[in-house]
Amino acid sequence: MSCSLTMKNISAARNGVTLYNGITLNLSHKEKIAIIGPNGCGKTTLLEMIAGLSLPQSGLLELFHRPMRSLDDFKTVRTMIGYLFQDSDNQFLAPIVEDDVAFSLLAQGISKEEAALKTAMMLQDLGIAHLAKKVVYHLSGGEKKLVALAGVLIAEPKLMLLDEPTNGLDNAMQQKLVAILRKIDKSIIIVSHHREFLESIVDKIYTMTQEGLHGTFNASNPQKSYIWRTYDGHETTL
Amino acid sequence: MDQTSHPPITPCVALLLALVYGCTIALQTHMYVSMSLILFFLAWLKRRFLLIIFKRLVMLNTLIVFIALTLYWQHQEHLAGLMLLRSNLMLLCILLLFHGCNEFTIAIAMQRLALPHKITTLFFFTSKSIFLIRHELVLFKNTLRIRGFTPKTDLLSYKTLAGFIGTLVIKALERSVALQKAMLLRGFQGEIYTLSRRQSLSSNDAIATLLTLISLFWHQGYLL
Amino acid sequence: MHISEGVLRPEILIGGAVLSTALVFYAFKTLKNEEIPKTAVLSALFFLASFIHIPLGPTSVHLVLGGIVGALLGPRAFVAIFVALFLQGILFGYGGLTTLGVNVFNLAFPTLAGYFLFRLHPHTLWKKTALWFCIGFVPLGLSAFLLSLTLALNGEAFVSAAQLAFLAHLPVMFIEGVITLFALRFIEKVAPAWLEVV
Ligand SMILES: Nc1ncnc2c1ncn2[C@@H]1O[C@H](COP(=O)(O)OP(=O)(O)OP(=O)(O)O)[C@@H](O)[C@H]1O
Ligand SMILES: [Mg+2]
Repeated sequence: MSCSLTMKNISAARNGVTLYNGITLNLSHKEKIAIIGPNGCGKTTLLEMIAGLSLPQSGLLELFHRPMRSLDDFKTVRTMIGYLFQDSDNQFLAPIVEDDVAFSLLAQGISKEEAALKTAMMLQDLGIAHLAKKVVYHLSGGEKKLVALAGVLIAEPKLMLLDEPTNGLDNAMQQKLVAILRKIDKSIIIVSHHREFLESIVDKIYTMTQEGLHGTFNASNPQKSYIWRTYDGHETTL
Repeated sequence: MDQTSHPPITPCVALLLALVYGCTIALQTHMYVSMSLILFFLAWLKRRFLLIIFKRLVMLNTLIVFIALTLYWQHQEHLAGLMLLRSNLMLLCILLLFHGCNEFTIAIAMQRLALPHKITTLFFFTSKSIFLIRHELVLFKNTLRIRGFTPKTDLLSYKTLAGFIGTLVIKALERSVALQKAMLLRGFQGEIYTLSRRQSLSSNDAIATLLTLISLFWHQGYLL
Repeated sequence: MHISEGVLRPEILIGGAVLSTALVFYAFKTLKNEEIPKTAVLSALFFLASFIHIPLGPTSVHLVLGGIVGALLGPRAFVAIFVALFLQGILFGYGGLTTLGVNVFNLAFPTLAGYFLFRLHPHTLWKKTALWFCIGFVPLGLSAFLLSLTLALNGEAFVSAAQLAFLAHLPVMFIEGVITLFALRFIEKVAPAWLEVV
């Protein structure tokens, strides 16, 4: 199985304070994992390093088998990574929902007609077609999260980094998000405080401490991994 | 604001009309009744909001009236009258045209005017920041109210307010860093795009354009 | 602080427009894509400063924050203030479109003083206090002076209005200075990294 991400002995510091030493993590193709840990332990910092927003102090970071040594190295893999911000407001670039969702497509030079079609389908899939013409900032927290997610999904990234996707979502919205994320057939790293939510999605849950990451297999519902592994775009349960 | 809710005058047309009307009126040295023709049409379109608009106009008049009074004092009646009329025609035009618009409407209108991408991007990001920072402002004012703190003219109040300004600046700068990250992660190529095609113009736009031109070039009813 | 539409003579309006267009155009041409976010958030801050009222005896005055914006943006402040004033003119009728050139020059040019003052290195606490007060006080004072000058140039009859306008701004300058000083001190205490001069 090919690897989406390899991290070896990664250490990071913020403001001269070491957050952790020796993070080691392997993420295989289409694997879904979760990272949990207390506030301020450096989860967002880790995701930002994977996305190429900052460099680790030391250690080895490989994305799609390519070593990432400088921020320039990330240019080649940037379109393959989707990032969902902890605060949805920070995600948006265009003020109108459909324009923001279509952003990555249009930035890649895809024609307006095709982008419009894909955007409409994406909004339909997430059940937010009625929001298409609204101003993103005028939406509720949950609606914003779905719009932000649509903007990430539409670019069809190979690796998705989701920073606290359940933040501020009610139960119904969380269930909706679980259904969406379980259908997605990609490598995903989710940072969240929400164990119950994570257990219905991921294969493995890592706990972050100053020493590093400790992974445990998610055994709460073994059938689940079976369902998403076989999922290929249709609601078929084998 | 929705893009779907149609304002009586398309915002980008409104921008052009305000510019043409303002620039021409500003150059006039004699005023005619016919110059207000377009304003009557706009007032009819915005008839439900006239009271609010007039209240705003009165408020904006304080400084203008003050200057007019100092002129009147020096027996410059014509100049005082001219200034009052010019100011109020132009202000009323802007208030009527843009009532109900917000920062996002204007940013989208700028995009439709096909200006350079850098300037439209700046307008988009500024409107976003205005929305987010204003939210902080409202939260702060509510916090003060809940705590029963009424700012007064004393050092404590000034320090409290300055602390809040400091917080606003920090949050604004943090937002700018986050925005930079979003540009990088989402593949910003120097442009904010829109899916919708060029907005079709309404009959109101055509009438308003025609009336603006008539107001400016057909002089009837000499005032001063 | 803003000169309203309809007050000024065409010569002054055109002069202001030409001057501001040149300065804004230059600042805009040299604005890099990665500088847009910072310019945008500070433009928004300048836009909103007009809605932050500081009590002064029985009335209140609003802030301008030109000094802080200038200190953090330098020449980019021309672009930020242009966008902010444009939006204020359209959405609230403060200033306006025809006076935009004059107002942008009157408000943006003095913020360069904030930029230069911010770059000095005071060695004593007392000097630093004075300097940070001036980052608020000086740009606003210069703006008030330019505003009065504009009015005075508009004609003999406007001189008394110009004088009164300047006097009316005196207390505002002090308040702007005090608030700027305390605000910068607050930032220095909470998040000093933002004040580092690069
Ligand atoms: N821009 C920054 N400048 C300085 N320090 C920062 C910055 N961002 C984060 N930190 C610090 O780095 C540490 C890790 O932050 P990070 O955001 O990665 O934590 P987190 O695990 O995501 O926390 P949370 O659960 O609250 O989101 C924190 O102690 C934080 O104070
Ligand atoms: Mg975080």
